[in-house]
Amino acid sequence: MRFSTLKIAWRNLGRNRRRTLLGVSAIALGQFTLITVNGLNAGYFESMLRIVTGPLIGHVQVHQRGWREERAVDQYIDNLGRAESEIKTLPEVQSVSARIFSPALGAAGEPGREPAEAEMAMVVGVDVPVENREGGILASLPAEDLPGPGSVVLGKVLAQRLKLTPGKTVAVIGQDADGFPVSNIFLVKSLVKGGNEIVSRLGIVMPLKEAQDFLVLPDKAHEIVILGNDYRKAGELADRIKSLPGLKDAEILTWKEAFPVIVRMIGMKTWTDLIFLAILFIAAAAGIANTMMMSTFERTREFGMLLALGTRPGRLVRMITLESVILGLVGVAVGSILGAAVVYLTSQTGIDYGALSGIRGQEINFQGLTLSYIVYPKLEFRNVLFGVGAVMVTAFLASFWPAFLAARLEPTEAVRA
Amino acid sequence: MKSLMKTMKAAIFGVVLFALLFPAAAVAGAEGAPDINAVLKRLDDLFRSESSVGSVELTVVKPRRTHTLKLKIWTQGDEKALIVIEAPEREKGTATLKVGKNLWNYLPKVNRTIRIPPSMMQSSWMGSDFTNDDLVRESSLLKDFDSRIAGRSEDPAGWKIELTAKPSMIGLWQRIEYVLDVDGNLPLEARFYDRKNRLARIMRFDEVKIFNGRRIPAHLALTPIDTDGKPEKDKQTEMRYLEIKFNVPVSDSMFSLSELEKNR
Repeated sequence: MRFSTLKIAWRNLGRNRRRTLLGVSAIALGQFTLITVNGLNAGYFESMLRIVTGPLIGHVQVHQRGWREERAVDQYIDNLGRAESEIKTLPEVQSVSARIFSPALGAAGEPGREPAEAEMAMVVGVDVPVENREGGILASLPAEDLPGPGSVVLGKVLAQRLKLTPGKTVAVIGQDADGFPVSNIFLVKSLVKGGNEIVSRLGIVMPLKEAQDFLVLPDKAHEIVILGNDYRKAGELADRIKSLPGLKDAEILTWKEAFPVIVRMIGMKTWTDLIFLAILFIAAAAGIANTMMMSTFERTREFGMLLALGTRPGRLVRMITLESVILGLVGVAVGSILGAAVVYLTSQTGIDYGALSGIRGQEINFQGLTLSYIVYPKLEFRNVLFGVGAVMVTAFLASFWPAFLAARLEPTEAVRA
Repeated sequence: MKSLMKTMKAAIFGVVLFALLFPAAAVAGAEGAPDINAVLKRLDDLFRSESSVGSVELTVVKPRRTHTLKLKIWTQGDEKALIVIEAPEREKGTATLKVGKNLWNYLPKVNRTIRIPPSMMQSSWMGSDFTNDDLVRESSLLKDFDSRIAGRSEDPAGWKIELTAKPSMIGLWQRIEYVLDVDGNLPLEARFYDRKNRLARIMRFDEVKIFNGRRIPAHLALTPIDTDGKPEKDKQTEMRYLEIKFNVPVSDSMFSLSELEKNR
């Protein structure tokens, strides 16, 4: 193909600038929408994925069968130490942490003249160093605020209800594994918001050992959370854990099985991506086809002249196709640059969905997890490429018909048209 | 004794609570079938009195453990009750005060009195199969239920009466079936159906004794039924009256928060 053909094609696009601009805008807008919407989706779903595969939920969870439905205190995993050490022998295991969840009553512990108002609460026994890492129940707490022997961390909502602040004491009435009441007083070290709704609403968080002693659950826990190397390999990890002798009666679930609704929501992202890709196709097709049809039909005489002068029909076809491709490329380039810029800028600041929809607060509780309303969009280069590809395909297809017609023109008739 | 008969408004086990569970005797009709209203009235009043002081042994059977508590119970009418755990050592001094619809628990270990919030009313009382709500609920079989004699019962042998909650009645039970002894005097068994009409608990009454001139079943056994309609495995709560005195003077100050926390 000669360079002159490209030059002529470029010049032809400049002959009706307004029309060309309109075509470019339609494609640019399509690509812009694709990139920004998918960027927003990617950011939103990625944060969700981070939560459901993070330390809060782990890649694999172990419970006694039935615990997830009833959450009874006596539905525990026995011989915890043995189970944990067996899990730790698997090479891909990064961390293992056990938790205790036991319904309780909490009340302000300071003796007062009035009897204390009690509130429903949940004793949550945790592996403190593990939960103190990013994404854990006690994430972001400084060392001096962590629970220790005789001290606890309270969920923020529970603390508000009990009118308790750090430094005060809380009386806890729990029940042992047989359902008989046990009670004790604990010092409140700090308050925690956390990503787990139960913890922020009801949590009386204490070290696992303390909870085991208090609730008479020696060497027992209700949940084991396991993080492996890669959340995508959770299925294989779960299978290997299932074959461990110490856990043969337990229910072993991957994060996908534990939170199927969230997994389905994440799966929806593929479909939204596709829908916006389809919209882009239509915008590009409309923009290019319209421009090319118009410009071809009004140039019938010109094409006839070119053919009469000896231009080969093939060159005519290449010229028209090139016009269409250039139009598409310019449009998609403009759209990509604008879209990428918007996604980049908002990814720095975040977009507060809550504020946009007039909701106070920055969190939503969903499936027992606390999700943030603030979304940090994420540019997925893949989607830019899909957009470019879609526009290219459309450009070729949309130019096919006008180019075909032009090539088949009878010069004598065309000149007279 | 006369004043006892006159006062309908008295509950024994402060826990009138249990009043609902406690049946009453009936006046047997001439030809067998007892008079339903008389039966209900006697069921309602079986354990009621102006005041009472009793000793109860509460045995809670759990799959892994059986736990026996010794309770001392003071009551005044339907409204007030004080229950103090006297043994074993672990729970000794733990006390529950009921005044009207309010419940407070005193816990010696943390030396605090805690008011039970409404949200915890359906929770177990002291690990037993009784709920906090059982302690505060005041309902009358006669007033709150529509009833009929449903004929003779085979097992156990006696009379069967059926009670259906009146629409205006707010409570846990949709339906209660009582089996009375052949004389129609004392209850043998009561089956409680929840609002979804599922059998939820069975209470059995036996060991009839005379306390203070009143003939009552001294032993009550409550079996919870799971959602499949079968008795829950190895779970039961038994109450045995070791002693009970009706209409003995009980001071008002007995039912106060300071008494609840009194060093025992």
